[in-house]
Amino acid sequence: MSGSLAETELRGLGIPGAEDQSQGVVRSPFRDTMRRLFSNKLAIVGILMLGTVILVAFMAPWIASQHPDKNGIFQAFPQNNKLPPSMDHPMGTDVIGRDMLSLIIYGARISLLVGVFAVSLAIILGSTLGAIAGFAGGTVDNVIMRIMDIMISFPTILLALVIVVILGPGLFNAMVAVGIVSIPAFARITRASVLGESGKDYVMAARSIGAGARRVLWRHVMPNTLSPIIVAASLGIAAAILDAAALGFLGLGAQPPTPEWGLLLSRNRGYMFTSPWMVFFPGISIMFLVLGFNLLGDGLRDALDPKLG
Amino acid sequence: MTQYLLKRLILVIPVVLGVTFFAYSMVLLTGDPASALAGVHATPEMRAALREKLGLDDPLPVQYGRFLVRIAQGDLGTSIISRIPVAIELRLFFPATIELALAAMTIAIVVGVPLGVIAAYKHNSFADLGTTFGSLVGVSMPIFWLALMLLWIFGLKLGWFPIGGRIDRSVDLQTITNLYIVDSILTLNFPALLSSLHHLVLPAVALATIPTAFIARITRSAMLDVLGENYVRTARAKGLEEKSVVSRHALKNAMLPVITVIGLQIGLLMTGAILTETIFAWPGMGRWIVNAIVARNFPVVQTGVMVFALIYVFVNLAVDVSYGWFNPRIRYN
Repeated sequence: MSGSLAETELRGLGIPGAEDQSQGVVRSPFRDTMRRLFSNKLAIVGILMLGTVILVAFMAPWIASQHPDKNGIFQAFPQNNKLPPSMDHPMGTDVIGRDMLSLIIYGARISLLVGVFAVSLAIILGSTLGAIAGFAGGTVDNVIMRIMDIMISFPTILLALVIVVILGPGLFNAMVAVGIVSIPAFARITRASVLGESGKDYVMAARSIGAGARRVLWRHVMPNTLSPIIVAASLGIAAAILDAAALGFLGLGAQPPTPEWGLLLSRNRGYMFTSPWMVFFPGISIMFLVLGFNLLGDGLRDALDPKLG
Repeated sequence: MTQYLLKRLILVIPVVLGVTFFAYSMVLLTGDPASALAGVHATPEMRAALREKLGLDDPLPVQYGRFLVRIAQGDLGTSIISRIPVAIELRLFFPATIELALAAMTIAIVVGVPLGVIAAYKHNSFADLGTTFGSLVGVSMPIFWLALMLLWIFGLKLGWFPIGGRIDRSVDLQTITNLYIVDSILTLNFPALLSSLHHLVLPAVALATIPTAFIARITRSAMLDVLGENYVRTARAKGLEEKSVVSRHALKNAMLPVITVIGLQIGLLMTGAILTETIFAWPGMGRWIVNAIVARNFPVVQTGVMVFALIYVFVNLAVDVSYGWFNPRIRYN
């Protein structure tokens, strides 16, 4: 390692603290962050919860008792309709006798996809806009941020609803709508940290050796604004999953036969008073996944910014 | 102060214009109002004539200008479905949402702030962990699911609360403001007051969950910051009662971030209202707009979207202005 020479020299000089560093563990910001993250009990709970959902989503073909055919349709067993939870059907069955647990297992794939897709879209568009606004300043900044102010004034569900009506109902359009709705949050966060970084000495140094604006922004400033974006992404996925489920619930998101959790919940709503498990389980699944992302996001915030802890 | 207020009001103008423009134009993107108005049996000629009559073939800025003039005169158009002027429907549905939102916000503040204070005061205790985890669960719950569960448990199983609506049909209430609580107090109508409070409980609790969780979290972290400050130690050192140290010295200084969050919560509250009203058959703005969006009832969507956004803009303005009251060190210039 390149550090070994320096370490030997430091040890030779008897500088306090140098001893610690040489004993086995190499300290890097990443390792420090991970160490802090894994010493946070709530964050570990969140990671375990997320791990469970991801594993279930991945293993769906092996663990579900019922599988969709090539058109994505789960076969109906009318003779098994509205069975309460039992050993055969741990989450009961729905009106047309489909196994709720299998639907929910396959639904996990959709919710994960929705969250990750929507937030990726929001990061790509929002963070780019925010970075440009923060870095360019002046009129560009004003125009971009005022548009963001306007967007943020609309309740997210309402804006997403209108976008879905423009694009047409469906899972993909709902993901796009939820992504667009999250743009202002990422724009604001990125702009704030770009503004914070731009005044620092290393930016000045990069400029003074003749780096162009684009290079300074993307190669020097942006890597240093990642922490708040990572935190916002984890919390943003949680919000995106909730919003997409709400769209599904209102009938404007995923369409049947997709086993999307919000849609399952809304389709079974009419049977809630007689067969409550049909509504209970999709809802608790949404909460489980969203809580996982929220716990992870909170843990990441504390780990990336020890000052806030 | 007056000068600051004026300056802030001037800065709000472009946002308000942007919001109204957005509300007007994005609704046009969802489809052709003329065909929605003319109905499915209309011939292309009839639709064209209607487009002409409504001025939908004019350039967008011209249409938007006309829209602004119209709303300035108090004319919000006519609902395509009910054929009732939108302004009249708004006067009916808006107070219902305001009543629900205010009730939810009151619950959220009354429950959330003390929870946050206790959690911070007993830092790292069981109560603290419980509040932290509980508030995360609160923000992770799909509100429509929570609402359905409350309905099932307290409405159906236990039968403690009615399962929908704002007031019993058998109760007469002379409406003045359409805020039923206020109206029943104004007319000294005790049965109506009881009935409307009874109907308000479940939807308000469902709607309050997320704001309560947020407020508790922010109060906790703000109090943690403040309790470590020197002036809190000083207050204790000079022998003040602990109650007074916490409430007068610490809490008042911790309120600034809390107030900000309350302002930001208004947007979330409106989102929640849309879902809560749908489930509790609450005749408010949220349900009105969702139905209108599905039915392409353009004038209603435009008005509803605009009103929701303007509430957000002005509540946040009020929040900004209130900073000075909570923290006199903030100077307005």
